[in-house]
Amino acid sequence: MKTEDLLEEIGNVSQDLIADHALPDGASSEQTGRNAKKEIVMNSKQKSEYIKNPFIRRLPAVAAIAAVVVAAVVILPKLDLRGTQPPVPAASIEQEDESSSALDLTNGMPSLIGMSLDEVRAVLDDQLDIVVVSREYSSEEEGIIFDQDVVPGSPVQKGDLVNVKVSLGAKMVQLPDMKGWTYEMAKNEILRIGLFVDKRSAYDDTVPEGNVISTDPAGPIDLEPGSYVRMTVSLGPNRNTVAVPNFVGMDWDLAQTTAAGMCLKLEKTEVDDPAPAGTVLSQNIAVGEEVSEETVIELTIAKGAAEKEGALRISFTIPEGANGHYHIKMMKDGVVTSVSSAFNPENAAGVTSITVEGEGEADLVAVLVNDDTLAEATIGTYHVNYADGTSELKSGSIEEAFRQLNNGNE
Amino acid sequence: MNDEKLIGLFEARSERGIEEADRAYGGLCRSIAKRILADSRDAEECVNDALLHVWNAIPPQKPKRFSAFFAAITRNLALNRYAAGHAARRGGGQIPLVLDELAECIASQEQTDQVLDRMALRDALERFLKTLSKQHADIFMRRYFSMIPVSEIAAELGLKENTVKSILRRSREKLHTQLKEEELL
Repeated sequence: MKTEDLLEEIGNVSQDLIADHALPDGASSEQTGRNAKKEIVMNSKQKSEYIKNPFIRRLPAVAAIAAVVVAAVVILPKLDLRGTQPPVPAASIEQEDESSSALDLTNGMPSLIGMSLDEVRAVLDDQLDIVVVSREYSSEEEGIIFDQDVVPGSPVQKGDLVNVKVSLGAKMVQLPDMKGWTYEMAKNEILRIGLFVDKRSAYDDTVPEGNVISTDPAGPIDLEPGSYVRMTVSLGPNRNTVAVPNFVGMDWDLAQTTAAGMCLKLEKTEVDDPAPAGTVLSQNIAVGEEVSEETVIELTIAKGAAEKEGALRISFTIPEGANGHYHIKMMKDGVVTSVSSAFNPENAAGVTSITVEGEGEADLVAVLVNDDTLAEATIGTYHVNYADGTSELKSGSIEEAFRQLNNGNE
Repeated sequence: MNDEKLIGLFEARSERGIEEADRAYGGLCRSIAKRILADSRDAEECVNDALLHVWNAIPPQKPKRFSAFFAAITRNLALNRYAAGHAARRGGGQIPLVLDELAECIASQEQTDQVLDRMALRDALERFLKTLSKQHADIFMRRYFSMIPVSEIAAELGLKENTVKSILRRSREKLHTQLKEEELL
């Protein structure tokens, strides 16, 4: 094996491992909440926060390791003096070892920043004279040390005086209403008052490009310092266009997925129609017409039969390349219980569905029927739970059923 | 734009997917390529190549983590480009340093069954990373996947450079031991 192989294979480990460890937290959009917000700041290269945040985020962990080290170095020797030999827990050894270069008491004064005053006093009170010189608002929680006058690493002796500043918790800062501000102005102000920015962009016909459309939370509002403000900045009017696809025949879910992929928006009007519930019957903009992204397209959707208790819809994905005329029937113990409307795969937009009714649970066999040849092929057995409204394909596949019928045609 | 929507654009063959991918992750990938190739122009070309690869790969592929997918492709292309020697004359980058460090894990240049080795090696690496603490795995991957200089990793994590170096050294030793135990060396 060569070193180059190792280097290359490090790049081929799973995407989860890469995203979790190699990339900044911001390089994934799967995270949510505060972490997800922080990432955007990193992506937008606001370097001051970028460097600051990972450190701040890790303070609790650093403090925890520091506490273990302090306990290991200060308490264990004392116990030794009393003539006992306590077993040293393996975890302590490991943690001490891991952090030895950064937080070793033998290297002098430890960093107390990020630790609670009570915790520090409990461990160090008979070693050092810890004096609180002030209590101030800070981004640390109340009771946490956020400053010390003895530089970590400098030599200390028993009884030495160490002045610390203890946090009163966060002082609230006011986020003003920033609608219409330029992004630069808004960002500078937010950073100045001690908040962080999570920038998003959106097209807007009225707000000029580069100006703030909105913030979340909207100002004026009091926030804790260090909070993230999601700011949506205008990209100006949307000049990108897309060709309107054919939504007719799709079901509502597929239409939405398609629209989202093409940056279009949908509105629906439901009408009574014998077509399966949710089927798109018509659209207000012709297929192929070029429209701006984010354009709203109005679709007319079949309301379908009124939802009855004990009725549920099973959807089937039609494989690509199928052609002809088909319908699907559901059978229970050899008796047909429901029949779908006829469909032509070329117009069905990849999906069709059937409504089944009943009580309790049942195993239903789905059968694909070719209306041109009247040939039939079993799709598979569905286990249906009417009470929960769920269905699960236990065996078989629709691809196989189409393959059987198509082979029969040839 | 979230990854799902981004992948949706690629699946719908909308070229806006490329723009959005570049906007979201181009900077990240450019910095990885730049560390490998030590040249901005090469890095830029490499990211463009990677975007084309992503365009050709999705569909049918549907990456679980778009950022990691894009970054891994960029990194592979940059390594290939580096190996081909296009960039070597323009500067060193992090590669000579990283190769030197990783040589400790290998400590042998014997050629064995390449393909089997590669698969077993990847598998061993994944298991090795899972045995490391989150912090140590972060440091290992930042150094050897993203090729970030030790000084920058230390600054980002609020650690001393020596701490990062010693964590990396211990991780390499651990990897060496594991590879040896699994008879991959």
